[in-house]
Amino acid sequence: METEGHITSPPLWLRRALFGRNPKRTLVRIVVLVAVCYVVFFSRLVLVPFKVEGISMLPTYVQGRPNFINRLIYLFREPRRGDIVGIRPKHTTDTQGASVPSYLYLKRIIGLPGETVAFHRGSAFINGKALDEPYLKYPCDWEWPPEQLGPTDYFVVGDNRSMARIDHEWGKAFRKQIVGKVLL
Amino acid sequence: MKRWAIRLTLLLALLVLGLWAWRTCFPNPERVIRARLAELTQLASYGANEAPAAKLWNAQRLASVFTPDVIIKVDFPGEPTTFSGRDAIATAAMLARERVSTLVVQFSDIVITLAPDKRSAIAELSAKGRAGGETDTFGPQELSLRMKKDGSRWFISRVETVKTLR
Repeated sequence: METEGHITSPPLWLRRALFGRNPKRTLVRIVVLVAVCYVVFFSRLVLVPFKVEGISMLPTYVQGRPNFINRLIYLFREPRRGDIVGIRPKHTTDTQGASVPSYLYLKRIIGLPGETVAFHRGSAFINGKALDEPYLKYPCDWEWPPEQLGPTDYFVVGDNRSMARIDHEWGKAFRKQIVGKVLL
Repeated sequence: MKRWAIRLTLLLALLVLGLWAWRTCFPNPERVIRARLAELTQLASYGANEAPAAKLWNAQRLASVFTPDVIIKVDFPGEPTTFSGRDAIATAAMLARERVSTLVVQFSDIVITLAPDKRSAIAELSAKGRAGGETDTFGPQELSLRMKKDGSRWFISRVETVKTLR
C-alpha cells in the first residue's frame, strides 16, 4: 500500500496467514509437501494412475474411469484371493524397478499358488470346491479343465464372464508380473 | 582470456562433432533396431486419403522390412493367424486397406536382446492397433520379433504372439 510516498508492509495477521510465524519453516514445509505429492502421485513409485480400457472387468470397473494401482501393498503382504491387480506383460518383468509399462492387464485373483482352478458351467472351482463370487453380475457358461498352479502362479480373470472365453484374457500370471493392487 | 575461451569453444565443438561422427559411422545396434521398428509402425499405419498407387507401394515397402522366409504367428483379434513370406505380408497389407479405412499401429515397452555376435536380436514389445477411428481398437498384444542383420540393415524373420496370461 502506498500513502503519500510511504510504502507500508501488509498487516501482521495477513503476513501470519500467508507465511506463518516462521517463513523459512513454512517454505521447508511447502517443499516437503510438494516432494511427497510428487513421489506419491506422479512418480509412479507409490501410486500408478491409469484409465480403464476394455470391458473385461464390467460391471466392477467401467471403461474410461480413472483409478490408481498401489505398488507398495505387496511389500507388506502377498496377493490375496479377490484382489484386483495390475499385471504387466511378461517381457517387462526383468525391467521392473521403478518403471511401469505403458499398459497393464486389470484382473481379479481367484486362484493362489499351489491350488487347482477349473470352470464348470460358468462357475469357478478351487481345489474342487465352488468359489463364491458375489461380484459377478453377468451369466457365464465357461468350461475349463482343472489346472494346477505352480508355487509362484496366480490365476486371474476378469469379472465380465459373459464374454466368450476366447475373447477374454485370463489365466496364470507369475508373481513378478503383478505390479500392485487397484486402490479404488 | 578471449583466446582461451575461443580455444575451449573450438575444442568442445570438435568433441561434439567427433561424437556425432562416431555415432553416425558406428551406430548402436539397439538404436538402429528401434529406428527400424519405428519405420515398421509407420509403414503399417495408413490414413483414409492414401492414393491407390501409394497403397501398393507402401504395402511392398512394409513387406521389405521382413526376410523373404518370414513366419508370422499372431492372435489376430482372438483368432490365431499364420502366414509366411513377403508376398503374404504385402497381400495382407492390401487386404487391410480394402477392409479398413484407417489404421494406426503403435509399439510400446520395447525390450531388445542382442545376440553376442550382434547379427541377430530378439525384440519384445507390446503392439496396439486403432482401426477406422478411436473406438475400433485391437490389442494391446505382446509380440516377440526375431531379427537378423543382413549387411547393414535389420530384417524381421519371425513374429509371434506371446501370451501374457498362460
